Amino acid sequence: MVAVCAGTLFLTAAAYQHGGHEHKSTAQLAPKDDYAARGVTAEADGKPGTIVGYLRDTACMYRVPTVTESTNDCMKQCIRAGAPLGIITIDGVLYHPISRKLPDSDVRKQLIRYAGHYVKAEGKLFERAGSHAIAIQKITVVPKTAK
Amino acid sequence: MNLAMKYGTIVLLAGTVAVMADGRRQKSTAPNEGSEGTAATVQGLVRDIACPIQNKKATSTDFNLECTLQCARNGSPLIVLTDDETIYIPISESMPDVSQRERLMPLLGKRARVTGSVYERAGTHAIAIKQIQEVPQK
Repeated sequence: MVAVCAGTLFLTAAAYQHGGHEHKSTAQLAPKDDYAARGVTAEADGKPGTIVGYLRDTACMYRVPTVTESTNDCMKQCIRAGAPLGIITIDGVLYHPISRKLPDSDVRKQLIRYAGHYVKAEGKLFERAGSHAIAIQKITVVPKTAK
Repeated sequence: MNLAMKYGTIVLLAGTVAVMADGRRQKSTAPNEGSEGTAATVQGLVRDIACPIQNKKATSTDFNLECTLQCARNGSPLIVLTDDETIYIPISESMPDVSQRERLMPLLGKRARVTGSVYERAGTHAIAIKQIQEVPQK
């Protein structure tokens, strides 16, 4: 009984600590939009938008169409081995992150810390032939229930 | 032991077993098995993902090679862009997934035939590469 109580207290404390960290985790991934300054056409400029979804490796999401959250070590192993990252929204749209500038640059390193979390990502949204991408301006860890 | 106590004990035992089983599942290091996908061969341009998703005029045969090379050098994720504009995200044959970048970089800006298993989720596509080889440009 004592062990059960101690375990419950430990888990509650861990969850609280985790939650506290989540809500503070925000990052500006890039300076303000510079598309216009570079003369990029409106068509290629994307649409400003905000998405909320779970950030993880893309491979598992393709192989297991029902999976969203990570329930085992597969996500960690995939990411460790260089798997590309993606954000799957609550309504099931998979976004591939890209940088805010062209030529594109790797944003993976900046996003790894958000893997395994629900995030709110603001930026420019792009779509082509069913594929979606987001050039992230700002990203924040949010609770699962956030919209 | 009366009936209520017996049921109580059974419920407690079942709960303990369920909690233990859940704990084992959480600690599992086994990769996600998932589906086998659909065996297929696709042909297309090996390039970065950013340019074609932003510039819809860029196709598998008419594209800016310099931008492709610069994006890829900067670490942009690589894809295969087919003639019907489908974007395939390359993934590994086995799980856990392993970056396919090293296999694709030699074919950057070139046309390739990719054989493997294709997957689709919410309109986006991936291909688990079994074999990839350069083919002549159209």
